[in-house]
Amino acid sequence: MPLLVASAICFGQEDKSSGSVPKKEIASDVREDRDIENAGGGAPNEPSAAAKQIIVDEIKAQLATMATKQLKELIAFCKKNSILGDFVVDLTLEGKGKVVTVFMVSGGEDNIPKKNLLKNKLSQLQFDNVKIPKKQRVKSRYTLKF
Amino acid sequence: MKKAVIMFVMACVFTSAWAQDEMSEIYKKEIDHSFDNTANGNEDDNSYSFASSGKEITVFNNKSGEILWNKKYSEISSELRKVDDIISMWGSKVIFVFDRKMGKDKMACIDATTGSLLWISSNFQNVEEDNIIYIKELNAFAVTTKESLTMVKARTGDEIWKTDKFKGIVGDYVYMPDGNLTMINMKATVLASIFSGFKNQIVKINSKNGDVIWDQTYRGVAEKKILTRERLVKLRIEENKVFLYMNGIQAFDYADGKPLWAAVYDQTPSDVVKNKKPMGATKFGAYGVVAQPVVVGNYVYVLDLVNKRNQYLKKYELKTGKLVWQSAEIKDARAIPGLAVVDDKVVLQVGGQVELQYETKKRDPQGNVTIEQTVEMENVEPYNVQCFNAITGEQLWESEKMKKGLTNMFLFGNNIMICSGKALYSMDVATGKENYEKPLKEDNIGEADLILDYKDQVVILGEKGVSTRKKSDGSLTASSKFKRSTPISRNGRYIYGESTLVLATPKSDYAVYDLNTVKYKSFDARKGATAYLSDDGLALYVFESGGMIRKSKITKLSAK
Repeated sequence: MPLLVASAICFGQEDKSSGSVPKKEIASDVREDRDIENAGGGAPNEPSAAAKQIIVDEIKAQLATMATKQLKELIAFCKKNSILGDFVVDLTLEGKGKVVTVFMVSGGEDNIPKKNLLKNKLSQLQFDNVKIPKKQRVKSRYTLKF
Repeated sequence: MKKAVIMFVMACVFTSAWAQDEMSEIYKKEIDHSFDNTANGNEDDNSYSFASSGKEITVFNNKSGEILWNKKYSEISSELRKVDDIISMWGSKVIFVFDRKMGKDKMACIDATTGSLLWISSNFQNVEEDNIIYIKELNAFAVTTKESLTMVKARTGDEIWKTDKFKGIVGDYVYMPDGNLTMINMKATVLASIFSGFKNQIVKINSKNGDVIWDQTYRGVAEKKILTRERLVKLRIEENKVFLYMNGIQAFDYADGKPLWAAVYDQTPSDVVKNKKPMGATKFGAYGVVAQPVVVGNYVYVLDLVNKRNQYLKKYELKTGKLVWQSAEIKDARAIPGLAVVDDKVVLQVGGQVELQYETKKRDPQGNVTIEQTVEMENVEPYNVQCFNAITGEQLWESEKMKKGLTNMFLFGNNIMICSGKALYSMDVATGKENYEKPLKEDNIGEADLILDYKDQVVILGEKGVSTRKKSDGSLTASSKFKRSTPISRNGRYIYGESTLVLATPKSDYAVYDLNTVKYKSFDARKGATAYLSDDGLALYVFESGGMIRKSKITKLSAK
């Protein structure tokens, strides 16, 4: 049974009065892939469990630090568009870390246009330092807290 | 024998009076705006229709004619200034409207029963009717664009998932009870698919989360009819196999998408009859040139168009794709529009009526350009009928009785009903011998364009009317002459309800026939009117747009 890595990334709104940078809290968890199975199964043509774990760990680390150019842009985008709240998403990646499928599992139901904006932005993401063999994809579930 | 259904062309029409009744009105509604976009939903108590201009829309109940709502688009949403396109999604009772601006299209989803805005989005560009599928089980739309496929909740616009693993418009699709969507892609135009590096895709997608379960390529170029946009591709899923009918047949494993077998030809049917392409035509397509495969039990009979002059009939085992037999070359055939199987015989109709669609541009001496769109039936020679043994593939007989002309054929028991345009024939499938030959002169409807199977009768659609003859002995039952006209048809269907058939002239005059009596009632609408025949064949809706002098009106007429 493949493992699911749920990565919870929390960053609060910028405190304008103090001018501080967004606070980032990182929490990670490992649990069975039950949710994804219920949602219709993981992405087919996945690498071996071990290879997948390495990729998922890398993505989790990138999401935790939000240090790459694209992830910095994601934060700025969410701030600019006042996208707030918890979002559980399944991201499917291929090639050099390109997001090919986004499934919005939950979150943002109170403001659907903003949820759609976030989904579109996530679908344009490209993670660094990821190499997935040709014709294979890696799908995992993440919790994003804005 | 050539018959033109000229859609936007001035044509000479006989205008003498015929002693037939006028259709009776069920209701007539006048509305205050002109319209250039109309649609008519299926006939039930809550069904509706609409008439829309670029700025205003009126929606009314089909049964009663009651106006459900009328609004300017700017009242529905301040983001809508004008509307360029409208798509009605009958199953979900919503109307999509599009305000198009190069790369900044606005797509609004409107509740068709109340006129209230459900949601509006700029996330979808260049979306047309072929780009949206309504999935009733999820109450959601699968929206495809050039770049991606997105699943959107119908009432809220919530974009549940998005994948860029499917590109292009949907050629055809099947939604299965397991929640998976199997679809093939295509480009909006054949030219676009050739020059854009477009990749053919047949995919199975989990509609709940967007997982692409498998992704395969298919052979050939998927297309729609160039003017009427009818689908030419058919997907079917049976016994865990996906069958793609397009220039033959291709089979894939439903579980993993693995190609199993294929019996396809790469020749484009339009090329076979490209000598029929009119001078100066900017768009051209020929349809019905090669008969669709026929499935009988565990076998499929397929025509293989190796090239324009070398064609074969082949029989395959459906489960395994094993070639059971291949006929000898069907010599000198160009078009083979008819293929029928009866017991252990396979009958081929070589030559006959094929459908041409084309667009031409004409410039008058003042420099004005007129675009003419034409849909017509055209006869393709040579003509003959051939019969093969379904067990062995050997030819049993060939008849050249119709060598001067042939419209089409259909089976009647162990006989073939076939028409040369000037005469109706019944032939014994077993021997190829004629049971009878009946000249059609006494029918007084001009030359026959098409014959249809109707109860114990053959319906003969002539250039200027309709007649019926008994299948058993070919004797004339009834006949009724109208003007030079063409039948209203969609996807090969001509008879609606129990017995209704409608002819229309290029000047929007309509004759509604009851095939039981072959009498018709008529309605002369304003030129340029649009008419819809209800699925049950009981009503004709005529939409006539007006202006400053005459009001726009919508009339529901009894077709009985």
